[in-house]
Amino acid sequence: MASEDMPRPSASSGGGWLGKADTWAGVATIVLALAVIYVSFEYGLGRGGRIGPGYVPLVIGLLLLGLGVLLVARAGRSVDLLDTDIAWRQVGLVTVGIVAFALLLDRAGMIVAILATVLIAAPAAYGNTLVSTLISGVALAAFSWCLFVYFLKISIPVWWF
Amino acid sequence: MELFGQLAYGFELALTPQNLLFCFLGALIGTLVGVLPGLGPVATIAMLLPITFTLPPVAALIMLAGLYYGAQYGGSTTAILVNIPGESSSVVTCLDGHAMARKGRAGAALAIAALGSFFAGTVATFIIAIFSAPMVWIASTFQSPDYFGLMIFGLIAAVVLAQGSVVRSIVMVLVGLIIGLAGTGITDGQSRFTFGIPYLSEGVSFVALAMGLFGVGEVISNLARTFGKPEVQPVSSLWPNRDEARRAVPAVLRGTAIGSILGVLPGGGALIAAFGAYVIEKKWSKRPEEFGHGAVEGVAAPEAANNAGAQTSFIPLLTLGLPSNAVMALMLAAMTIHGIVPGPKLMVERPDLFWAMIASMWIGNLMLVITCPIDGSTSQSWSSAASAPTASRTRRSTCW
Amino acid sequence: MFFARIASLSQIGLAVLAPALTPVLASAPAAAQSYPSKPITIVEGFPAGSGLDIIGRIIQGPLEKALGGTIVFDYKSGAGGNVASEYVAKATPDGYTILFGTAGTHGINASLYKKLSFDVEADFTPIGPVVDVPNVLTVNPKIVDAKTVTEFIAILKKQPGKLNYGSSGNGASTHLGFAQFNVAAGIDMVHIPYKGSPPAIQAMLNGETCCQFAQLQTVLGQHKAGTLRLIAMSTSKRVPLLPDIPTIGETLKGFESVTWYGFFGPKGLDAAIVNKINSALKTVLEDKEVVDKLAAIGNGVRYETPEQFKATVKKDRAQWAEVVKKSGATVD
Repeated sequence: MASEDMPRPSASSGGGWLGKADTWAGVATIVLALAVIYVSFEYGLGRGGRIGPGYVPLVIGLLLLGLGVLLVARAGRSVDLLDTDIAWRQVGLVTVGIVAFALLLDRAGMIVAILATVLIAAPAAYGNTLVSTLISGVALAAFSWCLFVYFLKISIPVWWF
Repeated sequence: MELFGQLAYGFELALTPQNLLFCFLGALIGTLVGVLPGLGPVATIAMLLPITFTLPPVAALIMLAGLYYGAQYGGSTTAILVNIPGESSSVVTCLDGHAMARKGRAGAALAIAALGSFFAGTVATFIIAIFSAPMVWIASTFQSPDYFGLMIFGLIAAVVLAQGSVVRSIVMVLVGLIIGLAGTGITDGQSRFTFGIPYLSEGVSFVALAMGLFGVGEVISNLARTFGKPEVQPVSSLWPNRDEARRAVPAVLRGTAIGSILGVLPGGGALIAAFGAYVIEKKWSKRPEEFGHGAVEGVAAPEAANNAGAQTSFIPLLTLGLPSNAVMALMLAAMTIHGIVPGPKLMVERPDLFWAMIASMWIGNLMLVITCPIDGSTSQSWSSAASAPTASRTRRSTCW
Repeated sequence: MFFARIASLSQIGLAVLAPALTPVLASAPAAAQSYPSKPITIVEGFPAGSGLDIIGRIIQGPLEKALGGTIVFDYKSGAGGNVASEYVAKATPDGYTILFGTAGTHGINASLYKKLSFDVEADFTPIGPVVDVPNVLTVNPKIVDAKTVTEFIAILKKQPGKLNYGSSGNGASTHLGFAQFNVAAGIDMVHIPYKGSPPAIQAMLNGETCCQFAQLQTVLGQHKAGTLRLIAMSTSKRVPLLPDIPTIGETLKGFESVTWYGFFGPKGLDAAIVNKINSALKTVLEDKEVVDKLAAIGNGVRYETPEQFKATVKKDRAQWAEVVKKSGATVD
């Protein structure tokens, strides 16, 4: 959301058909569209008068397919260049942190999950030391325990037992 | 005039020290949970329900109502300061509110949001008092085809308010529809796109989705660009300058009108109202290119619309006994537990409850706007506390 | 924040010690005797503020007093209550995780859903029912101006397949109860499910549907205002709150479609704990204040022993299975 406001230096300033944003947006759309269309056939399409559960997904899938093709076809005239300057480190670490939280919450409990998430995600920001990370992890776990377990009495597993 | 007599009666009840205290408590707790991303009014009201059993019904409902609109204020605060919508209806506020904050105009954005909301809340309160009956009539003529029309309007609005390539906006609207299909189909009971995960049987949670798109996205882009330091400028001045005020006023008026009408519709018109108000501002503006980069109207209109909508969404509950969203369903439960049967007869059977609630809404809004400066500075510290570990807080909220 | 950290640190300390201590402390008979020694979580398969939740909240205080412990509600809504059922079926049977189930979750869903990861009888220990929730045949008098069941059937027979009936969801008791009524009365109508009862009632008010089975408490307000007409109850006996409204069974012999709410534990729950909760329920359901509160919104208390409740579940499961089969409803 925020990043699109500011022009960022693009690594592939060369252009060309493969260097256009629309080309790859189109390819992604086509892949998604095909998956949706494939799945929608499993749901049953119903009849014209009383449509089945797969009807709407199929229509949306076909529309997506058309738009994806359109994107690829018109990519040549587009001025948007592909932005390959992706902060892989940040994207990766934050994503893994979130997935770790989801996997750990039910199995190891909230405290472990929060500590793990903070430890995993912390290296995404430069300047975090191990000590500062541990402090913020413990503080966050304590805060969450106080708020959600103590005050609000939400039933979440705090520990693994 | 009868109306003034009734309103005076309502104020008399709402201004008793006890009711005033619960109104304040509700608004305060509401603001706090609104600021905490992911902990919305629904969860909070559900937790506070047992406490309300011991209170007289009027005080209990005044507090719960205060919690609801307090959360609307709090939700826009985080939307502006950290680009995380606390409530679904403040998603639109993120677009220009946060852009204003990045330009160092966070104070002005917060003030415009609060004053706009207050104005809208005042108008909507009077609408509930005066026009409940005709509003309900409008809502009751709304049938499925009309809802479908409104939905299409909302989708087109989404395309209009997007920046950049139209084709890509349409693609994203369709992808959104696919995500929306996930869950158990209402008409046939078939599970679609749930991949056998029971948690998806009710569909993808809006809060989780908004948190992922706005919150996580914001965290990652902040980390990548600024090495982890929050980008928001300090709240310089709390007051909008003359030019900003001049641009905000007509936008607030339009937003209030749109919100008041759409809020009455069962099924949560407040969100569509906020979107609609934003689109109309963008279309009517002489400077549409400013939208998305901190246009004052882009904050004023949707904020007014969603607050007006939040207020008028009490109308179906108070006059038909039909809750229009999850919060109203909880209010209905609270009434039922207190032995009150909400329905068309409520106004006749429990005039004390009806008018005291309406009066307290206005009082609560007034309290919120007065505490706005405090709220602004506390939420500044909230948000700076939040900015380091936002990643973890965000994820926590996606779990419930 | 400082105290919070201390609290958290002491938690960590406990965490290290606790696993070592648990085997020593935990022994079954002692557990039943000291029950409840920590908050009891009652899991509901529907969101906060649902009809089920309202009943739960009304009995919460008295039940806490009778049990001598605290009760916490946990909402795990989804798949018609199956998310919550599955959660409780797989929980430790220590009496601290209890399901607030319904005739829907334990009667209807067993045959409605083709693949469930649990069995509604084998994987649960029935503890006791709480209330009977009557469904009432409700019409919008502007669409179908019937005053009795006989009139209603006569009007419907003249226009087969023309009129719509609403429900609070596909496979809900409001849907299947009406389907059962259609079969019994020999009429043909189109079913339109809505997402919950408020939109369904809204649709009946604006004429999109003509009629529906509604849980009594959801239409009481409309009934008082005269905007909707209550024709007949689905229960076997008239409801004390509205003694003038007959039952459907008075016209269609033997028709009954009742839904109850009741408590279940996971399978293998200690009989001593089951009896303890059941007798606490008995105390609560004999409390006049509770009875009056429940009656004011149209619900009748229902007390059964664990054995009787077990038989009820078995009987209703079979009965609903037949209704589901006849109506042809399925949910995947």
